[in-house]
Amino acid sequence: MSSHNAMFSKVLIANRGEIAVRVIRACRELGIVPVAIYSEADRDALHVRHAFEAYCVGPAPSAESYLRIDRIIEVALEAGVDAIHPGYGFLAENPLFAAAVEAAGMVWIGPPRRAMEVMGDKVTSRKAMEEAGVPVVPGTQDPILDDEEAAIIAADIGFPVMVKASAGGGGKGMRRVDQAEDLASALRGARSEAGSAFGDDRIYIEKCIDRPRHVEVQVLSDASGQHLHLFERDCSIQRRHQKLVEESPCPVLSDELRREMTQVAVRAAEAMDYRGAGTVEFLLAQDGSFYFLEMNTRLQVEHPITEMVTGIDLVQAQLLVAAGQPLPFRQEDLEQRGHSIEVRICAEDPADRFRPSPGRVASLREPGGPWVRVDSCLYPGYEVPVFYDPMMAKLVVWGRDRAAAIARMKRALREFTLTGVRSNIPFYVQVMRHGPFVDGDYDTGYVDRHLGSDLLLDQGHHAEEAILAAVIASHRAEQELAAQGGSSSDNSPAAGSAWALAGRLARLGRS
Amino acid sequence: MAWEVTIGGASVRAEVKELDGSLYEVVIDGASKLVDVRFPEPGVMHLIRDGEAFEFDLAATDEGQEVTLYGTRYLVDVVDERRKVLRALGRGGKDGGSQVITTSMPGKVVALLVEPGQRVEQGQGVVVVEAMKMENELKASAPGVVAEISVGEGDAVEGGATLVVLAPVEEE
Repeated sequence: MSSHNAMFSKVLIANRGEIAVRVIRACRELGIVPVAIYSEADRDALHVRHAFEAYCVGPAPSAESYLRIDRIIEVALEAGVDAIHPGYGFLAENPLFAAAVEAAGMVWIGPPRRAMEVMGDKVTSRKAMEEAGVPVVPGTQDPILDDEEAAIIAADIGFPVMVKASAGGGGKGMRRVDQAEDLASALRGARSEAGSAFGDDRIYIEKCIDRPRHVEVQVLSDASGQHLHLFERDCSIQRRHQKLVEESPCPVLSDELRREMTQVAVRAAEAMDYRGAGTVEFLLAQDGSFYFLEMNTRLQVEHPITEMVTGIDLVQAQLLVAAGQPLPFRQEDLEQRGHSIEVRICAEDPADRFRPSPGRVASLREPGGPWVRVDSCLYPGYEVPVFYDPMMAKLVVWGRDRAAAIARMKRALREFTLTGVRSNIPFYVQVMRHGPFVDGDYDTGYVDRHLGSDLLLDQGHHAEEAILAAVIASHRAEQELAAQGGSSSDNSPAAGSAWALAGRLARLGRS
Repeated sequence: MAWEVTIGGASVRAEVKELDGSLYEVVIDGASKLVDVRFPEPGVMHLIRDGEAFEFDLAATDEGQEVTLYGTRYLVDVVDERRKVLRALGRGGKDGGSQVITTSMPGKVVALLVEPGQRVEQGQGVVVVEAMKMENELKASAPGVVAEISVGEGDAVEGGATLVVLAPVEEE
C-alpha cells in the first residue's frame, strides 16, 4: 500500500471560464489555495474573481496566453504551487505540457504521459485498444492503394462502409457506400475531395455504423492500480460534433450491455496503466454492438452528470489521486442512482443558425431549487469575450428517474433568464418536449434530422403580452422624459424613438 | 398617449392610460386590458393581467424593443403616432444605392477578400470576420464596386461596425 501523502497546499488552474471555477471550488473544499491564470481579455472573468491568487499570462488570443506552456510554468513557479490542473481543452491533452510541469518539479494532475501520447493519436490508440481486446470499428487504418484492394476489404467488412480521408476531419473526403457497384466512384470522389481539402489524398475504409449513439464510460484510477468505472453517459445529441445534451444513464442500455461496456472501459484503463479521471468513448450500434472511438485523457465537460448519479466529486478525486492518495471507495461502493441531464448553454443564437453571439450580459437569473446545478462563468454585466469557446454555462439536473429529470430540466430552463447575449436555451426548451427525445429515441444524427422540421423553435404564444410590455415601457419612458422637462416629440425620429429610451430607462431600474 | 406597435410584420394601435399606483389600462385595437405593472429589478418588468403573471426582460436594440419571456424573444417596434409622419419623411433621402457591409457581432477581421475599386457580384464574399472560433463570410447582397474599406486584416471590430462600402455599379 502506498503511504498517505499530504494533500497539495496550492494548485494552479491552467484554464478559464466555468471549468476553472469548477476546479477552484474543489480546491477550496479541500483546503487548497487556488491560483488562477488569465489573459488580458479575462481580467474581469469569474474564475479570476473566485481565485485566491491570479496571474496574467499574456494577450487575449489563446496561442499567446492559455496555450503558452513556458509562461504558465513560469507563473506557477513564481506562485510556488505544488501541482497544475489543466481543466479540459487548451493544454489538457498535451503531453508536452505534462512533461514541462513535471520537469519543473510540480505534479501534473492528469494521467501518465504515455497514456496521453498513445490515446492522442488515432492510429496508435486503435492499435493499443485492439491489443487490449477492446472492440474497434472494423476496417483498415492503413491507406488503401488501389480499387481492387478496396473492393476486397469492403466485401470483407460488409456494406454499408465508409470511405474516409486519412488526414481527415470535419466530414471532408468522407463517403458512405451502400453497395459494391458504387465503391469505385466513391473512392474517386473521396480521393479528390481529400486531396484538395488536406493536400493528402490517402483514404481508408471502415464499417459504417448506422445511426449510432455516442455512449462513453467514465473511468477513475489511482496510483495503487485500482481501476474503477463510474458508469456511462449518453452524449448522442450533438451538432457539428459538439455535444449539446448529455444524460446518465443512457436511456437504451440494458444492465447486461452496461456491464459489458463498463468492463471493456476498465480493461482499456488497465492496458494504459491509467491514473486519474478519463473517459472511454464508444459508438453504440442499433444492434447493441459497440466500438471504441477514442479515450479522452482528462476531465470531460459533461462530468457533472456522473457526479449527480454517483455522488462522487470527480475533481476532488483527481486531486486526491494526483497527490498519491488511494481512492476512498471501491467499485462495489459505487451506484448509479436516479437520472441526470446536462445541457450546454452557449452564446449561440438558435434562431439564426446557431450564430455566435458574444456581448455583454444585460440580465441574468440562474435557476435554483432542489437538484439543480449551474456551472457557469456568467454574472450580470459580464462581457462574453469573442476569443474563446462559446460555452458559458452548464445546466445540470437530477431526478429520481428520467421523466422526473426531464420535468426538472424544463422547469430550470424556464427559470433561466439571460439577456444581452443570445443563448441556445430556447433550443433546449424544445428538445425537452420533443417526442423522440422524451422517448429516448435518438442517435448522433438527431439534431440534423429534426432541427427546423419537427424541432421548431418556439415562435411565441405571448405576442399580445409582449405588446403590452413594450407599450407600457415606452409610455413610462415618455413620462420620465416629460418629468425631466424635455419632450421627445421634438427630437429627430431616429434618436428619440421611445423604445430605445424605454430600454435605457428599464436598464437603469427607473420605474 | 397612442402608439403604433409592430410585431412580426403586423401593426396594431395601442393606447396607454395610467390609473392608480401601478395599474394601467391599455387599449389595443379597441380592446381594453387592465394590467398591474412593476419593475422589480433593472431591465425586468413584472406584469399581472386577470391574475395571470408574466415576467419580461426588456432591452433596446437597433430594430426595436426586445422583450424576452421564458426564453422567447419578441421584437416589438413602438412608435409614437405623432412621430410616425416625421419618421416617414426621414426615410429614403440619401439612398443612393450604396451597400454598407457591417458585422452584427463583434470579432476579428481575418480576411479581406476585395480591393478598392474592385467590382463584386451579388453573393460574392467581401470580408471574413471571426468570433468565438467561427468564421463568418460577409457577402455582397447586390453587385457593386468597392468604394471604401474601413478595416484591415487583424483588426478587432465592434458589433455594427462598417467594414466595407460598395458603390452601385454604373450602367454602361
